[in-house]
Amino acid sequence: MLKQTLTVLLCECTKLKRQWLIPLLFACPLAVISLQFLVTFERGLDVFAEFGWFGYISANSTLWLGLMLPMLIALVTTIIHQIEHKDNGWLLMSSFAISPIQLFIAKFTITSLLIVLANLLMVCFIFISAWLLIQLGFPKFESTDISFLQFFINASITSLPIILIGLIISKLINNFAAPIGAAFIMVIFAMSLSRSESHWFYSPWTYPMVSIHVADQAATNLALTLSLGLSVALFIVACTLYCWRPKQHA
Amino acid sequence: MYRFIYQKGIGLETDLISGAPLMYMPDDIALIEPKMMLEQTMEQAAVKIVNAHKAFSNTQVLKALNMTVPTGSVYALLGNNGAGKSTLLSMLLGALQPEQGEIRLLDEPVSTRLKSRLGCLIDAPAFYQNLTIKEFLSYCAKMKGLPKQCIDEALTIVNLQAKQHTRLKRCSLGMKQRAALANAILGQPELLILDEPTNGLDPSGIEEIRTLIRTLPERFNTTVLFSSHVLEEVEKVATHVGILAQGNLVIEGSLPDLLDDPLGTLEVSISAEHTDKAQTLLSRVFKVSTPEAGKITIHQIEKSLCPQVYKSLLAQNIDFYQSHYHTQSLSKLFNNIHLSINKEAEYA
Repeated sequence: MLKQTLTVLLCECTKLKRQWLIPLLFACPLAVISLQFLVTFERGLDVFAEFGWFGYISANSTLWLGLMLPMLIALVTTIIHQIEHKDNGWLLMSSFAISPIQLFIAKFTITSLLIVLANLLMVCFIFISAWLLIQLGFPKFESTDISFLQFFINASITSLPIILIGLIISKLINNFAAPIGAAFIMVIFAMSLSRSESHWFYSPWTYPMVSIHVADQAATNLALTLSLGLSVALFIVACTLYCWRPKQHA
Repeated sequence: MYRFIYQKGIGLETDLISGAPLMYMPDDIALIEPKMMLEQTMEQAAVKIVNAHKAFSNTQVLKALNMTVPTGSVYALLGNNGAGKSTLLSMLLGALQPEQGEIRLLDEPVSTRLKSRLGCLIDAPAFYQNLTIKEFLSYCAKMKGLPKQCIDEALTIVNLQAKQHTRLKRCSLGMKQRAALANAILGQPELLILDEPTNGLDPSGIEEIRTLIRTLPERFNTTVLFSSHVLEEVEKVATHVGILAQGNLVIEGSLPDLLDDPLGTLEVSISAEHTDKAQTLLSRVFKVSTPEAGKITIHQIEKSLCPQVYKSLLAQNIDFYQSHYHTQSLSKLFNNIHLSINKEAEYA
């Protein structure tokens, strides 16, 4: 069973060949870093001195976790399912001796790994941009400014419910616009909600941003706990959805 | 619920029990009879469907369908658009579930495990356009747990070796159809389910695929179940035929049995000035239709009587330059069945 699931996972990777996914994984964090790098460089050392490296990294993290990452997740989940929606992919899948749950596990694992990779790339790009700024005369970077490892792990865990919601929506709706439109609305909604200390937990899209709050450890822990709990529930929903066969006409 | 039983050569419907001509059979008989059929043929059946029902919303697509595909046969499933062919084939793959009834493939109920023994080409072929033909087949082989060698074998069989590195999005419809067929025959499955396998192929491709389908039972010990709209193709390829109409299999059997009619039709092309004379002469003995474009058609005539017809014409100095004798054709059979169904619908 495990061996077969691994085979399905590898086969799912084959399907991503020559897709836009891998370039997107590089382009999205690079866009965020480039923007912040240019803004920081343009403002100069005086403005930078006010918040230091903590301000630079926070600005990058907010833009990445609040806007770009949820949109990237919507895009990745939609592409992963559009591969099947196009050209009768689901019917081909149903002809193989694999269970729908194995297929879902493979798709979920791949999406999660891609998002982990995107987070990792974001961390790498932060390092590279910081090194470049130092070369351009900015002050030296100190390891106490932020724990990168914590950022990377927390962001990856709190992405899980968003990934699962993305997979559920894109499985149900066979087009690009609806899942991405829904993600955009949720991101805008989450941006307002994340400012409220007592309401942020109503939207899973706020969890990544809250999870890197170094000042509020309780909120960080709650975001992580809620993410894991919600992921388990959504995982069961998604598995049920995969096993359910929609009615088709002759 | 109506069930037609086709009587060889005549085209009438008969009651299963009394043998009397009938337009329909009562529900209770139809429910008992399949169980008997199941016991009799289960050992030899690669596909056995008993009393399958399937509905979408308020539309009943399959109604108490019974079907038997003998092992080692090339079984053609015929039917008009919307007759339920694709639904039936999707049910065989487990993509759809019957609301009632039993489906057994290779003597097992439909299950995920069973699919490793099947090959299929359903509906429009499914492809990942970003992959090359070889990558696509390699993906399918991995999913089926087959070794890499079988990819080259399948590519050779469908004559796609030279194009194996072409991306699927750049392939013609015919190449895609061949690639889909290559996927279906990967690993020499015991049962092959093909939905209109020659769709989109050029004439030489059609001939190649027909030959392939015809030879598969012998080459790979495979049973082939395929659907088609092309009756001529079915006559050339199939050993068994089932005709699906209004959600029911109205006729099923081996092709030679279904077309075994001692009486045939003789068409004689006669010079224009002699057609009336020939008609008068022949209509004394045979059932002759009104001549059309110098062609006289004699219906329900035994083949052994043809020389006598020619001798009579020559004796009367009637010139004829071409003649063609043919027995029951599949298209005639198909049309007769649909005619009966339409009549019955009018009746109802």
